[in-house]
Amino acid sequence: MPMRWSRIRRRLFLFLTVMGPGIITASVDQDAGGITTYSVAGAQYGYSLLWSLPFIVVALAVVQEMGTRMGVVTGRGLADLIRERFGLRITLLCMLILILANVANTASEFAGVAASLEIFQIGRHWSVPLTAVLVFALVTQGTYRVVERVFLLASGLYVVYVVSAFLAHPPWADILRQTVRPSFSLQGGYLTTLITIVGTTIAPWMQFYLQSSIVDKGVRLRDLRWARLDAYMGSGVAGLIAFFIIVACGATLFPNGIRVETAKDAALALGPFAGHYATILFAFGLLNASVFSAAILPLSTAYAVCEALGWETGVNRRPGEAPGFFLIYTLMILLGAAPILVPQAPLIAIMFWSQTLNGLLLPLVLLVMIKLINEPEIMGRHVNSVAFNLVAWGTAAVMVALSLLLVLTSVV
Amino acid sequence: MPSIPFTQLRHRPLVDSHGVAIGRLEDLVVLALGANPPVTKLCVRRPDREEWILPWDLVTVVPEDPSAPLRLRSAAADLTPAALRPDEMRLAKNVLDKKVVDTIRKKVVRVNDIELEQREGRLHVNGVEGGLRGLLRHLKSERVAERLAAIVGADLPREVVPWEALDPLETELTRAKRQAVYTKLAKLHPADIADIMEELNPSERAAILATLDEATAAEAITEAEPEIQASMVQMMEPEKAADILEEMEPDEAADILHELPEAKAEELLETMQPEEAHEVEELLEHEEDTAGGLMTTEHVAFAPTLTVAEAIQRIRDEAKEAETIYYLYVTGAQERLLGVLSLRELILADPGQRLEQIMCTHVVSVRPETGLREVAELQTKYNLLALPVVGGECELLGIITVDDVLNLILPMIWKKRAVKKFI
Repeated sequence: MPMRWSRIRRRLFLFLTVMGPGIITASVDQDAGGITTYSVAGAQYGYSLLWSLPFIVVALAVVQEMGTRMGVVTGRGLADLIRERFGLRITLLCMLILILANVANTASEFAGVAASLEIFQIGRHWSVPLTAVLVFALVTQGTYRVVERVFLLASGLYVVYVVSAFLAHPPWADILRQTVRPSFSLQGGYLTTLITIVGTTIAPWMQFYLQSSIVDKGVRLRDLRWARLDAYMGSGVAGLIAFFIIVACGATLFPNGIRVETAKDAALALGPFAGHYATILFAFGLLNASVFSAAILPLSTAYAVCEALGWETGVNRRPGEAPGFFLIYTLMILLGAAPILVPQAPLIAIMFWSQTLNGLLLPLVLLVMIKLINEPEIMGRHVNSVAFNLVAWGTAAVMVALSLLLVLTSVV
Repeated sequence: MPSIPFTQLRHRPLVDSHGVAIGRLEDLVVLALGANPPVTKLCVRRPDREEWILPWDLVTVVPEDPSAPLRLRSAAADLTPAALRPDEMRLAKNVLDKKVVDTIRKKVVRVNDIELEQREGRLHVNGVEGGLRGLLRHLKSERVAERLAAIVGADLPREVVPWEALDPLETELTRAKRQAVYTKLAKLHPADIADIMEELNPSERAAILATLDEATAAEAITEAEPEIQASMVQMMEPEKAADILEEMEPDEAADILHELPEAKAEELLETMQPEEAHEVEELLEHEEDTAGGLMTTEHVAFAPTLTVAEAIQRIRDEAKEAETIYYLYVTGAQERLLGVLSLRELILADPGQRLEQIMCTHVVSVRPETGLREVAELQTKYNLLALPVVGGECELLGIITVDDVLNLILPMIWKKRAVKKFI
């Protein structure tokens, strides 16, 4: 069947040209905060939080698809759309949220750098400033695009979690049962961990980042379905990685009652695969993920804020030409690195709580996205379907409910 | 008269001639004409969220005090809401917070505020304001910022772009006009669209092409005069141009790329999908008025051992892209041309027969360097709809269809006739 083959080849080619933003966003998503959150969740609660992953993946897929569609249809970034539709005040509110969440996220990336290099006996007073300088240089010197490929390749390291999970011979029947059967607890720690898992997987910054990458890539309307496929695949991959990290930690740390308090504890989850090398392997994975995301987060924040306020942007300009852009970018790196330099700063806690903040801020960003994507004036005939609206509203509502529950339980 | 910032007028309360509150000023409407568009109407948000549009003439005076209400001449009961005209636009909805293009400084500006001015009892728009100061005023914190700036010793310059320097903003009227024209245009035959486009300036052509779907755009460009073709492709976004070139027959695309500056042609070839780009590249290597330059590579060629039934099935499956299917070429190893048969011969033949049994082995063919005149003569002499082009090893390179030859020959004949007429 020569025709069929050539058609498949052409489709594959079309997909490959459009592919990227969704998958890259998913990889950046599995950053220091992500790895830590899943490790803590697996170590502390075993498999009992696995049931949330299928829901989270569906929600993530829907939200990512919405961002992709808005980017393809309007050719504008999320910050741009928010400014034009909602005016200056709401835009500033959204940008404040974004900056707040991303300073916390950047801090968690630097915490990841510090934690992973402390395994190699490199102190944080060396590792953090050096990484900050490295990241600043990488991006401003324009070498970032080249390095991105390396990072992306290195994020293939997540496969070791899959291998480790299998080698630990966990009770698969039990895992499967816990994945499909929801359980719940009103205990504060459980609620926090749940919010944190959602927050790290569907992070607010991802929506800004993904939509801008789609616009930068210039995906055309006729290739929308390929871009969608990309978004769905990215979400699926993100969910699978989360699943296997939790399973690996649930199989190795949870039965032994190990709480993840340092990176060394989290590294034990790779023991079944790497034995004595587990710590080194984990350190590499964490370092790669942290530097990758530490490069992207401040940059995407600076882009979004400048886009919304109408300031000059671009790493290929001199600081004098785009002062606002460089100011935000530099401040983000400094504010992210500073808290980690405090001696004895609890690295794992910083990585974990930054993701909780993501979870708490997510509903606001979702609300804005839902509003925008249902405007026929903006989206034409590509407004949200009823099913997508249900999932998006549902996610926002559940997150608000969980946050309220958390506040209630901590007060009572 | 000092200028009035729009963000200071917006949301101000409105009272009628008796001082009764009517609502808040939501938006201003301007007539989008000239360097200083006049404010013609105002939009009031009523306490019950309803919106009224009223003529601006009703406003007595704009008080200096930014918190003082605007007073109307008539009583609330006498107000009759007006409607928006298509050549009017709303400042808050269509201009504020949007991006506009400053054509003088060649910069995109995010509109943080709009500067108005009162002259001869009328309110006019002076320009739009970007920059930090406009942003702070929009947030009603300009005074605080001024004080802060004074302490640091920095100044907060105003960045006002005059209205006439802006790239024209679209109103309902211009949009409707353009849409109507374009929808009508898109329904015409591509050849007619080409005729119309030839009369327009390059940017108008680009605007029209951008609204056509790729297939129609490709046909319209194909039908246009060669010298305009190149300029049209050059005016377009590279992605759009590449999409359109992909839609064209490779020989047409090659002709157009031939007319472009080399760097531009290279860029477009890079942007095109590799398969299509490759076919065009091969054609580009030949001179324009030789067989190599005239030929297209989209022909139908089969192996000699194929049966008639199989061949017909293959045509159905994969010959959609071929320029012509009236002639089927039979090629052996290394694409060597062995024979030819017409669609008629194929259909009339016994389905079980193999192509080599029914094909005609005396094939009239030309080499890539053969000139246009000889190609035309051969096609006329043998009544051929298409003529194969072969290389040194007798390998099939492409075919020349009769319409491509006619396109080049006819203008020559017309020119000669025209000359005769005038003598």
